[in-house]
Amino acid sequence: MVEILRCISNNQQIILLDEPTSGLNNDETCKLMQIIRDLRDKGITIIYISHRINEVLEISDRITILRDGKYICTYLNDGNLTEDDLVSAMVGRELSESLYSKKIFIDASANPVFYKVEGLSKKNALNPIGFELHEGVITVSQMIYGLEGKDTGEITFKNEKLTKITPPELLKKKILYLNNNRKKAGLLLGSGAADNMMMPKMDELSTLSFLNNSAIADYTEKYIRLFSIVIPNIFEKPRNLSGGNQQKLMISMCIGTNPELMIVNEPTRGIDVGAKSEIHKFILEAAKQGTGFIIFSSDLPELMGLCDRIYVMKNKSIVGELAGDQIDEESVFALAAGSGRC
Amino acid sequence: MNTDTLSTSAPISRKKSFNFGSFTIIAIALSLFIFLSFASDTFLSTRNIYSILYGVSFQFFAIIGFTYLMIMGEIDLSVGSVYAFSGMFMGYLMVMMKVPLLPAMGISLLVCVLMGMLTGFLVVRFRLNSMMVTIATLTLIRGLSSYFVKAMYGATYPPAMRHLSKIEIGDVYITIIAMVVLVIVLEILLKKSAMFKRMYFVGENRQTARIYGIKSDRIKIAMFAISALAAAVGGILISSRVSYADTAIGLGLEFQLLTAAVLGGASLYGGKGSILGSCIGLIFLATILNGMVIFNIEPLLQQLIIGVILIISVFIDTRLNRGN
Repeated sequence: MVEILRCISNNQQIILLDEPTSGLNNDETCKLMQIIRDLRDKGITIIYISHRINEVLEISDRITILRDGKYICTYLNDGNLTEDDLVSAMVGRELSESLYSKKIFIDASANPVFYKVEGLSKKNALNPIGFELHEGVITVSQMIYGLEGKDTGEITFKNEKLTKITPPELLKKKILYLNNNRKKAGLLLGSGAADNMMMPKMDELSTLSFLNNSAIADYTEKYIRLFSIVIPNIFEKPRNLSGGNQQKLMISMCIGTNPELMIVNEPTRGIDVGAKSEIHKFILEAAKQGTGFIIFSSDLPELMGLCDRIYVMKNKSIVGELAGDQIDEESVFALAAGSGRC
Repeated sequence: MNTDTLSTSAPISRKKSFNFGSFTIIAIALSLFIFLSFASDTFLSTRNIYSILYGVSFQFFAIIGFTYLMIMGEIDLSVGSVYAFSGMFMGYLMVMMKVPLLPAMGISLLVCVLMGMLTGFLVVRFRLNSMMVTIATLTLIRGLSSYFVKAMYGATYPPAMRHLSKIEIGDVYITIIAMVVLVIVLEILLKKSAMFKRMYFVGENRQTARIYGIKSDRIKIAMFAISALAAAVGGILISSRVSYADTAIGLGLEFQLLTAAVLGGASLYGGKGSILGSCIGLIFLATILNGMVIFNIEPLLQQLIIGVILIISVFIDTRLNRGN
């Protein structure tokens, strides 16, 4: 935000913003939108590059779409333009269904509890929170994966109290974590796709510690196909792939282990809409196969499309729980009060 | 992106793209070798080559763990001191305390392994910078060794210990045979074994490795211990060859190893390196020094040359690997 303001305050005539909101929350985004509108009224030209279609639609006068490095078309935003128009131009085909088709709610509160977090807290970071995940249903990510220390709190998985919350122990129980920042951690950008794929299940893919290279190649190829990852060969480094393909590779690393539970943090950050809808499909598919999901996301439509229940957090605490029909944008924003739609 | 056309059944290539990087050092070493063979009569004699390899075979032990740690993104600058300490300590036990050969060797190796584990523990548990910690242990262990030098002034090691480095199998020194066997075995393990593969993952991105359940801390402590153990084995053998407690043993060895490892493809930023590469790096350095002796170049310049090579290799490493 400071960086954006610094750049704006310099009295420029043309300002180029590349994904300015990817690091901002809803509140800040609203403010930025207001600032951009003010600047536009002052006659300053702004080039705004973003994957977030609603933002683009909201503030642009003209919208140009690029796909696969090529110019596709330019729209005049005269008020008749809809998100679907832009999305289909971006994806290159008509979407038969809306991108965020509402998930059919499965009420499972009667089912046994599958995963339960109680009184999880950390000084100055998190007030005690707790939530439950019932069998057959999908639901503070790094903490519950043991990457961050906690002060108090208990986690129960399949009626068994987890005593050691560390990645190796959780992996043994087939609980996996998808990190929100694949560049920082989650994907080895400089090692081949096959190396990445085998990382969470090296023991399975080796005999007496010797790697079974053909099994690894088969396994990698299977998931490259399944998730239609665009990659020239299985040893290609993720660094040379697009964001969407990197993300798909990272998700296939996790799904490849047949997890019982996946803790997913911002599953579609900084990727194009095509890959985004694919990833949503994979998550829903895996959920249908019986994988439980806990999804952390700042993308509300995404949560609405994927989740049966949503917990809203504010000021380090859970402020509300919504399930099934209760889930709509207004209710979520009402809970997160003060950050209404702009 | 159109997903419908992408999911074709055409096979996905399994060919690895050829990597020139790992062959650069081989090419440079080879050209130096050819140059020296033509430029001098004495270089390409069996005796000369044999003596180069014999010299390298001692340092080779020390570079094993050193390379592993570099792959994991850590560095162990204490190897030179451990190299000096192990032999002197063993000699001290034999000369002054009259301990027999094998127990003396065992005690010395054990002490070195414990020191390595302690270093690893400090680095892992308190997240200390391994370069700083091992500069401290370098000084500390060197200090201990100088006590032995003083205590054994004028004494030579017992014949049993002096004999160690002279053991031959079919007219070839055992250290050379060990070097060749270890290069082959360790190189295969490094490429094929899940255990060793994890070191590369940790070196490239510790956080990522952690998410996917790799116990990087445990592996690091083990590798610091192995680094100390391997350096100690090399140190005992070189002491056996030198035959008395010489302050010059292992002095500056850490920088020679660093140069060789970086030349051999290891990176200060972790995630890269191989035992074969490091070994060729060592042979390359030894060949340069050998060439300088043949051409009667002032021995004091040797340090300078190693310094220059180190700067060049660090420069190349940074250009290739930083920002990854």
